[in-house]
Amino acid sequence: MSRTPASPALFDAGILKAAAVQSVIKLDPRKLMRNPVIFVTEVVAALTTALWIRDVAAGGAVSFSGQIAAWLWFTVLFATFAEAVAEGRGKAQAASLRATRSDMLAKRLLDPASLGELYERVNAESLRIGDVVLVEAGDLIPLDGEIVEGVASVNESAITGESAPVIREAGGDRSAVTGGTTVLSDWIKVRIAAAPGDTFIDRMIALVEGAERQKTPNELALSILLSGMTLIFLIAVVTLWGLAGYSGTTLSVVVLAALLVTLIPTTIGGLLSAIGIAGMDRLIRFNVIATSGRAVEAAGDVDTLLLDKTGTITFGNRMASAFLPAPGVSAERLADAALAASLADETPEGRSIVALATGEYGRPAPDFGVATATPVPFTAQTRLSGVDVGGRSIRKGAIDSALRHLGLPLERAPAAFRADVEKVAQSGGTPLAVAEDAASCSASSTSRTWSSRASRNVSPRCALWASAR
Amino acid sequence: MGIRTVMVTGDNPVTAAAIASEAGVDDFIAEATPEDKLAYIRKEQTGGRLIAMCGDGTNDAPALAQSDVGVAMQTGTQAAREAGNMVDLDSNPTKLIEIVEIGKQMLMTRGSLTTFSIANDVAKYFAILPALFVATYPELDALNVMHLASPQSAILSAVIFNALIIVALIPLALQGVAYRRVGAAALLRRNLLVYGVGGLILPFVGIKAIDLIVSTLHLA
Repeated sequence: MSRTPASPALFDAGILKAAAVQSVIKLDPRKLMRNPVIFVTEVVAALTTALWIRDVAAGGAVSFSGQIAAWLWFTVLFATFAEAVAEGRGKAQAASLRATRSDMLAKRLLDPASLGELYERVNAESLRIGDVVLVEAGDLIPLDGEIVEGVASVNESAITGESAPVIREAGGDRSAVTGGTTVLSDWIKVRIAAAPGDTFIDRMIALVEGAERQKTPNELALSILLSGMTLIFLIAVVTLWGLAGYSGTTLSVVVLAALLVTLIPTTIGGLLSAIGIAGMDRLIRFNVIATSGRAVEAAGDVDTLLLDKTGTITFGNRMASAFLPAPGVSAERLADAALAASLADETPEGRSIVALATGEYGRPAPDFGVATATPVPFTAQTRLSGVDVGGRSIRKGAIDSALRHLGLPLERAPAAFRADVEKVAQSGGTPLAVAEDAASCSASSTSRTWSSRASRNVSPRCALWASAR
Repeated sequence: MGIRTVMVTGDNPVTAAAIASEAGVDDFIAEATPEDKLAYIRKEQTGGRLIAMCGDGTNDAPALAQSDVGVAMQTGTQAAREAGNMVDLDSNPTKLIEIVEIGKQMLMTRGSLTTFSIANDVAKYFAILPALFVATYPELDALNVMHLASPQSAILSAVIFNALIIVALIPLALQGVAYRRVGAAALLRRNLLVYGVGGLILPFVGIKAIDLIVSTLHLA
């Protein structure tokens, strides 16, 4: 299902037919109240019609007042029609989304904590936030969630229109899965993060149908202005009646009604909401879903763009490309330390380090006893992750963070180490450091430890590898 | 478009500078923690600026929520998608530029049609007021520059024009006025000319044409 050719023509016959019906339904005064200019037009049209009926009953001249009444009704109808056409274009898209939301069965794990594979089949509607479900190749993902275990290729064409599968995996920034998408290969365990009826697809449907549309601040300000103008013209037209009477002209109510409706800003009043809906619609056509009209409007006035580097300016994941040991550190020792620190790291970067160490450097996976090794997860504050094992604490992370972990200012790190860091960074790579804090290492030995590049001498503490961006 | 681009990264300043100069962004924030990003956005916002940000990671979520336009990538984490107010289904961050253009286009369309609608009133004064008062004040006929057939056809034509112009403008409202990458002042001048002056002149032509039809068909 590709989205690109699905974009309907400006005036699709089906949309127009549905919009014609909708435009009559929208005549309901309770709905029109939201749009004061058109509401006033409708009231005036009703008044003129009443006068015309009175004239018909009285047997007077009815052609003129009848035509004015008819055209006033047309004015209202055209305005509601504009809104209905704008909404209709979104509804066509919602229908294709709704097709993905069929009844489905989910495999709910009975005991997610114990890594057991036992599951029961339940209806997706009965899942609750926090449940963990198993999704295997060929299954639909029942609801939005976060992958807690596993990696799988997922077909997200139901949402993105892009038929090429994407990889979703536990850990890192690609762990979210969307209900209604299909797992193509492998399996994942997903912790449900959205209640049925509140998933991404549900919200998309509500948004493209315009059900959740609220007036944006600018739109609100403009409609207050338009209402003000309407009020002023109303007062002016009523006063005109008195003034005309004073000067001996008798003005019929029908004529005054016509004057009022032509002077109040019906054109923009009738098209205002259509413009707003069309703006959201253009974004949807562009494969961007805005959850509020306010955001679309704010986008027009933006002064500063903040771009996240990874995946924005640079593409793909960071992959480890080389270990650059500090002098006094053997490449093997560095690779082992990096490997130990990365074993629990589920991010693509962490896995690439493991792959580099076990592959190119041929290091065996370390064999810690389960009791002694404590993985230390990455936090944005420490910007370090690693492992505590057998009294050794191994950390990897940004250079400054690793140095802080060692209690070592950058100036005191050896020149050659700093030169390596500089060289990697200037090439656009991201230098990371591995710090191994053995109890036997004294502070005085640190400066020696952090010295120069590819020397193979033994050094207990630190080293550096570069990781390509 | 007069927009500053700032690169935010958790990388060290040297790497950030190398990539920033390669990508040609205006500024960069290196070694940014979630708090740093948030603080930067708040600082810019207190200066009255509107911030758009795109990101995909959980650590971007606070910043996405704080920014005025937060575009989360569809491939991103659940937290990021919840925090932003837009989701890019193609996960292509360069789209931010086009999103800004679509926003500008919507604001321009609304402004242009408002200008047009209000400018329309002038012609209606010329059509309806002489028609109303010509019996009492014959001098007012000087205002009847359109030489409309009769007072009744003048009023009817104005009402018909008023209704038909809504239908005529639906395509423009849906498609938006054309956005050109020129300065804001040039755009404003052009739109004022097209929709302001156009809004003044068009109703004279339109009402006269409808009046001709109405009087030929003896509708009024």
